[in-house]
Parts: sequence; structure tokens; C-alpha cells
Amino acid sequence: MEFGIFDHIDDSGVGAAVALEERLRLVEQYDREGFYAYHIAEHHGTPLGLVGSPNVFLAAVAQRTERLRFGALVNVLPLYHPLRLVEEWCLLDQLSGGRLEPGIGRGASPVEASFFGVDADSTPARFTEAFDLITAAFAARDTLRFDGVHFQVAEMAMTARPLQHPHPPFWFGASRPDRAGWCAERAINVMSLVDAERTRLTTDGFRERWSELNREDSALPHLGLNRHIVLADSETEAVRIAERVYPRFKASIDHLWVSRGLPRPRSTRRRSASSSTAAPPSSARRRAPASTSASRSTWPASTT
Amino acid sequence: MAGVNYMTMDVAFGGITFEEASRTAELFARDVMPAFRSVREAAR
Repeated sequence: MEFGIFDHIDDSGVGAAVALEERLRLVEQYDREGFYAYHIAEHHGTPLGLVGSPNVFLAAVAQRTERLRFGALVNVLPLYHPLRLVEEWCLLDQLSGGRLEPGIGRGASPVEASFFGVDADSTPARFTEAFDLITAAFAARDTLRFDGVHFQVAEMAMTARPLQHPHPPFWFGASRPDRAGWCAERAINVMSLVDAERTRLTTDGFRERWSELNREDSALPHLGLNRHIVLADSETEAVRIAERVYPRFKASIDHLWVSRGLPRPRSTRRRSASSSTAAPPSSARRRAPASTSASRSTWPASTT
Repeated sequence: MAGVNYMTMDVAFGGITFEEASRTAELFARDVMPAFRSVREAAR
């Protein structure tokens, strides 16, 4: 079992300059302490993410670390020209000695897509075509040609190259199981943000497809799960910290939905249901180390 | 239960301070990660 860090870089109230420098100091610590990778979310126009351009921040991460792998989880493909992403990924991979693990996704928020003039109904098709173009760019020997609905590339010399071959390993946010087989076919690592039961649908679907393809168990990509946690020198202190700090994150994650009067996605409604309890359930108090109320019911029992 | 082989954590979120987030990562790396290494080695 390997362990990584997932980071929204949500607004903590100390200002962006201080927050970003403190994050980089934490990243240096993750690098020293043996975490496998550092994954950051991409959000726009919301206190949920101060880093709208995760790849710019990751260029700093590349220079402040030596072993830690990193990437956006995810880069929201419909909000980029895919060639821009390929070029940024190649730069980050070269800058870091081949430590990039970029995430690809359609984007979870129709509000954030609308800021870029992207119609939410078009994002599945835009995602598919963007990933086709990205795949073609990494596969191209010298020259890229691509003829799609959204993107056409007449003839481009592929001077941008990653250090990892044939390309850096990809990640996909697979909280729903419908893309598990698609990820398995492409050997794409997956990350779930939902509860253990629903995560199991994704991991079972992935393993089933992996087995059908007669691929080695030892080569199985990462099938990951994320939780918020707080550890401290006593359980009481950890619970006290979690109860103090989690509501601000919760408000950030709900911000765009609430401000637009939209129903929140199922995953955040569940967080809301468990975090709105003023006092944690007594069973949670018995569990050590303490975690936030959002994750208490499933961590660490769900890690194996 | 979840069928995962990888676990990530949000340790810095909301109004948490640098010192508090750093302490979570430090304690996890010191007290939790080695236990999973020994489990893996014992299974071999």
C-alpha cells in the first residue's frame, strides 16, 4: 500500500501568497517523508481552489522536491486546448526528472465550465476528442496530424517530449464506476472520492476488465481512495481540530452550487450529511486516530 | 472493503494551520506508513 496527498488548496483565509508558500513547505515535507505522490485539484472562480492553473504551481513543486511524484487530479480537459496541456506536461516531466502523473477529466462543475464559455452538455464529447488528440500527440513519431470536430492539427512537429515513455502515467477521477473498464483498457490510474461501497464498484470493474485483458496483477495501476484526515497527539485534540477547520472547507466545496441555487452533487451532499452534526457520533470518538467527520465512517477500515 | 491499493489524504484543508497539517503528515508517515510496510512484507 502506497500513500499520497490530495490537495484542493482551498482558501484558508491567510491570503494566497502565504498559503502557496506554506503549501510548498508542506510539499517538501511530503517529499522527505516518503509519500508516493502529490495530487492537486483544478477549480475556477471558487474558494475551493486557489490554484486555477495547477500546472503552473506544479512547476514550483518540481523545483522544491526530489522524489515525490505529482500532477493535477485532474486537469479539466474541456477547458484547455489539448496541445497546450501536452506541452505543459512535457515541460513538467522534463523539469522533474520524470515525476509527472497528470490527471484527465471532464470537469465536475457545469458552473466552472460556463466561466470558460463551455457548455456542460458538450464536455463528454470534448473530453473524448481531447484525449484522442493527446494520445495521438504522445504516439506521434515526428509529426502530428489530427482531424476532429473540435480540434484540427494540419501538421505539427512534435518537439515537445516527455521524459517518461511512452508518456507519463495518467489518472482519472472515477468516483462512478461507468468508466472503470475504459480506464483499465488504457492502464489509467483511478481515484475515488466516495464511500467504500461505491468505490468497490469502480475497483471491481477495473480488476474485471484488467483480468479479461490477461494483464499481470503485478502491473495493476493505482486504484486509489481519498479521505480527509487530522492526526494529533491525542484523539481529543484531533477531533477538536477537525471540527474547527472542516466547516470552512465544506463551505468552499458548496460555494458555487449554493450561490447559483443548484442542487449539490451526490458526493458533496453526503459530506454535508455527516459533517453537519455538531458533535461526532460516539463510535467515532472511540476510533483512533481521529479523522474528520466526512471520513470517519470509512477510514481506515476501507483501505484494504 | 473498497478494493483499493492506494490511499490519499487531504491533510491541509479549511481553516487548518500549517503546523496542524504538518503534524498530521508527520504522524502519518512516522506511525502509520511503517505498519503498512510490515504488513506487505509479512504477506510475502
